[in-house]
Amino acid sequence: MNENIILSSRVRLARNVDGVPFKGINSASIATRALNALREQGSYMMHSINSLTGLEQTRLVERHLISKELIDCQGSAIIRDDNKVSVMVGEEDHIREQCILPGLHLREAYAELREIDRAIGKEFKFAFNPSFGYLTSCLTNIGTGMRASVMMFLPALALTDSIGRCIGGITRLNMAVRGVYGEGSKAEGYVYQISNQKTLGISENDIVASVENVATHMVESELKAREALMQVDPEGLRDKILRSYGIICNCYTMSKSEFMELIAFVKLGVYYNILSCSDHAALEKIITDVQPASLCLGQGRRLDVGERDKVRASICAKIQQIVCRIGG
Amino acid sequence: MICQRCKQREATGYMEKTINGLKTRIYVCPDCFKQAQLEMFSSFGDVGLFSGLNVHGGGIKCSKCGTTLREISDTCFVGCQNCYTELSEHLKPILRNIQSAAMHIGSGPNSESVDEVAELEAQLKKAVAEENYELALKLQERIRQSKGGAR
Repeated sequence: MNENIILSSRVRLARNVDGVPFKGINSASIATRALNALREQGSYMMHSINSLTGLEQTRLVERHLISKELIDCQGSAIIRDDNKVSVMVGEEDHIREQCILPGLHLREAYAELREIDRAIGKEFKFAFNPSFGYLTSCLTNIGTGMRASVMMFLPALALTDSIGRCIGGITRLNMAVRGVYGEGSKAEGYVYQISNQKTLGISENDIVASVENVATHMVESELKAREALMQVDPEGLRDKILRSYGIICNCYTMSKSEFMELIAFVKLGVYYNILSCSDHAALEKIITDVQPASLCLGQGRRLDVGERDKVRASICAKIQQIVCRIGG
Repeated sequence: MICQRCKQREATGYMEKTINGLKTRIYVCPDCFKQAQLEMFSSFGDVGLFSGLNVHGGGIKCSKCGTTLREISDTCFVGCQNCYTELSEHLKPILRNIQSAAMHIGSGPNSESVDEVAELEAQLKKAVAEENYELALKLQERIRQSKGGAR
């Protein structure tokens, strides 16, 4: 049942090349060397941000393969074919390696990233100091340079107004809670990102364990809240879920924010066995496909908001092929 | 909930302030939280907590990139890796404030892999159980080194 709550796990390592200033680097030359170092690690593709169109850049952000900051810095990205590993070059730090896996798999993501880090570390001497660990541009990343995060779908905690209290508790444990696209972003569709804040004076394994603990605790809280939500107003909740399902499959235009709200209730309906889903991966793909840049690229051209909302509604109609109503 | 500071973005956490002995919670977004931390940090400088560090006059700066200690404490960003070597002693109190630590204990570029460390830890447990303390000490040292070496 965790899959319905923990959407994905991500581990990121920040690295800088020894002796090279933090700012104003030639990202293309570092990226080319990093790409060569990864040749034996799988099939990778290098993208220079300024060679991509605006839509292509945004699609990479929507898929969590690069950060918005990389676009501002006009850096480069090296992305593995399965979209699980990416390396950003020329962002706040010279090199940022990340591995993203579905579900709660932080340990596996870190183990995989360790190999990527080792391969890149053979090509470059990383800026490292025994006292401060891996040296980073910002003091908030120094030490391990590691950020371990989980993306969590927490609608019941939000709808029962318990999320504020949970966030308060989490921040006291040196964890950060952010929206779906990282710092400063909104928790759209009741999706929250929980990550470690402390990177110094703690080992990588302990960071992974602490984020895992918090995530497991949040899953328990969310499950309790889902139980409470159903107990308080079972008919109202069933009605809200079925209405959401009805609208999402039968409308002419749909904004992104409306979609994110409705799809959350559809997913809740699947959890409560009010709706059944025959293909979870296909449902997740629809959620990715209706994000603005992915939607335009799917149509092969830039669309204005009104056009996007109509195309989104037509894609949403396909949800009735994989999700159906159970019983009365 | 909307951030009570900027009244625009969504609040994702809260800060506690004691005003006239009354503890008050202010719910804030990540941007405002960061800003509030920086303001708090700067205000320490104004009351002279950093006077010993010469943050105010900008006297202390990295000889390579010219970034001053004041700039680092205001922005949390250093200019180059030499800042960490030259300003090391001055950075420690700032790091303690941000990270609640000033010493790395994670892995290093030449550390053994996670699996190898786990294997060493298993061997250590076994050695202790068998009361083979000589081997346990050696294993402990290897684990310490592979986790970064600095304690």
